Amino acid sequence: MKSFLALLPFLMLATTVRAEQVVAAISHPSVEISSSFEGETLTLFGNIEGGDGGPSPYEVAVVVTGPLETVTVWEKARIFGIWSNTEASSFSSVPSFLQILSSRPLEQIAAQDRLLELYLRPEAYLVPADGGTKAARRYGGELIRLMREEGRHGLRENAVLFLSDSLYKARLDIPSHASPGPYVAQTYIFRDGEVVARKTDGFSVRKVGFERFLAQASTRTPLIYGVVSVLLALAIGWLGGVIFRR
Amino acid sequence: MNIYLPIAELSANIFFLAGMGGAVGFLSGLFGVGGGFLLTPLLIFSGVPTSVAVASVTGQVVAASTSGALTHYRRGGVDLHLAAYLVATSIVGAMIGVAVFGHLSQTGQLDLFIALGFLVLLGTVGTLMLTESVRSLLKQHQGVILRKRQTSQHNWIHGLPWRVRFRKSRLYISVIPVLVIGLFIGFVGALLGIGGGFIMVPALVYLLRVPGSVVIGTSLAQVVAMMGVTTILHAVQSQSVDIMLALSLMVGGTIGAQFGASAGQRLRGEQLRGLLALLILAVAIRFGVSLVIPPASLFSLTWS
Repeated sequence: MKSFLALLPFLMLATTVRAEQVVAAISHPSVEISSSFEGETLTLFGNIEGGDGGPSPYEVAVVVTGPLETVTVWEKARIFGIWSNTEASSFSSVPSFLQILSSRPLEQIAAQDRLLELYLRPEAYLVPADGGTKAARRYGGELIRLMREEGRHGLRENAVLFLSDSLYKARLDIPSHASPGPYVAQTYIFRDGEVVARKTDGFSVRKVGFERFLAQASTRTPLIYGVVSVLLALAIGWLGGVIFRR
Repeated sequence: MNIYLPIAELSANIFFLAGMGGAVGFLSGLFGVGGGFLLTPLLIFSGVPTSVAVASVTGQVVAASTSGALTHYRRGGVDLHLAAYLVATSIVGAMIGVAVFGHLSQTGQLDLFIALGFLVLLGTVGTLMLTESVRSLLKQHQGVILRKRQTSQHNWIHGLPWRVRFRKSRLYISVIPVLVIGLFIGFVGALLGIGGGFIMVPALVYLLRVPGSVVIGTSLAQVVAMMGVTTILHAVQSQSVDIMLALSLMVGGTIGAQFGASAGQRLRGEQLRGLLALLILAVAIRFGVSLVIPPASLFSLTWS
């Protein structure tokens, strides 16, 4: 019964949904991290089909999320004249990368509550591990600010460009420090503040070749990785002595 | 040209890393120290995660000390018997150090304790070295001839039980101070990512009266063995040894050390020690300042 109630809004939506459909794709199915990786720029593009060409234009919002991680926000305080981490609050399942791209300022596209429901606001992702206390809300604000500073979160409200009434594209920058893992791009097509079509696409960010080999070795066979690292260091030290001293 | 560091998960300029390794290598060749106490702070200050910086520099110190240790060994300047005792307890110290490192990392206190550790250690050693070298420079200036301490001179440490004969060092001393020195260096080295040569050498000279001919070689041999084991411990425990980072530093460091060593031959011992003391104090002050001034942001994140 409960699951049926949860499904109810979607069923109702299905009956009211108009004929629009979005065909979307991402320029790269995967972002490959090799030794020369300095970040990558992806293009998201799509076409809105089956519309009746009504009076008001379509608006597009895309939210791209990286692998979910647990993050701890630390607060420093002065103890005996020294600044140290004293208080902390943890948030579980926070996307390590969160980009929100849209064709217009979001508040002009839909109401705040609706944006929050659709996970188009960063606050939607913050689930405090210790419940919704006042402190957790304060830390949540800091978390979003720090994620923006670290280049993990961005809101670009003019990133989606319409090439025609129905054809759009958007540029997405993946920074070099992006966490490897599955990424999800959720696209919403709005008209008059309502979602008329949606689509989910995915891509992966993964280490390839030697970088992949090293990263796997360091976690799967850490002992061998450590021993080989030491042997390598000994060899380089010895070689340096041979080359320069003789 | 950028290189992706697979464990640190960030991209860094390879020339910047090799240049930093080279500059520190030059100084380490100049002063005859490992250089870990400069390299770890530099990496931390330039944005490498603290745990990756410490663990990777540990690997770099192995490379930096190997060629020196081999050279001294060929000249007969290594007391393997003494080094074995030091290594044995330094490994125990390193195990405790790596465990404490992991615990501090989880509780968000790693950066604080590393800064405090460097401040106390470098501040103390730097001050001691500076006063000592200023005093000897002044005495030379006044024309006083300094008589070198004899290895036969004894202090209270030599009265402790469990005495062992170390032939090469011409010592018949208690193993207790030897084991305690090893334990301390192992702990500090694992926690701060330093070889600890700048603590080991004075400890061997002033506390144990190890003769000058075997001090440096024995200390270097001990550093190679201890830091080798510590690297493996870090790789297993915190999995934060970034071999690409360590390699970039090693290449620069090995080359820089050669130039440093030849430059060092043109400077006098007291001057060198005075300069090294100033350098050590500068790093200590940098850490001290970072602890006391209000941080740019009161908040920070750790991802897991």
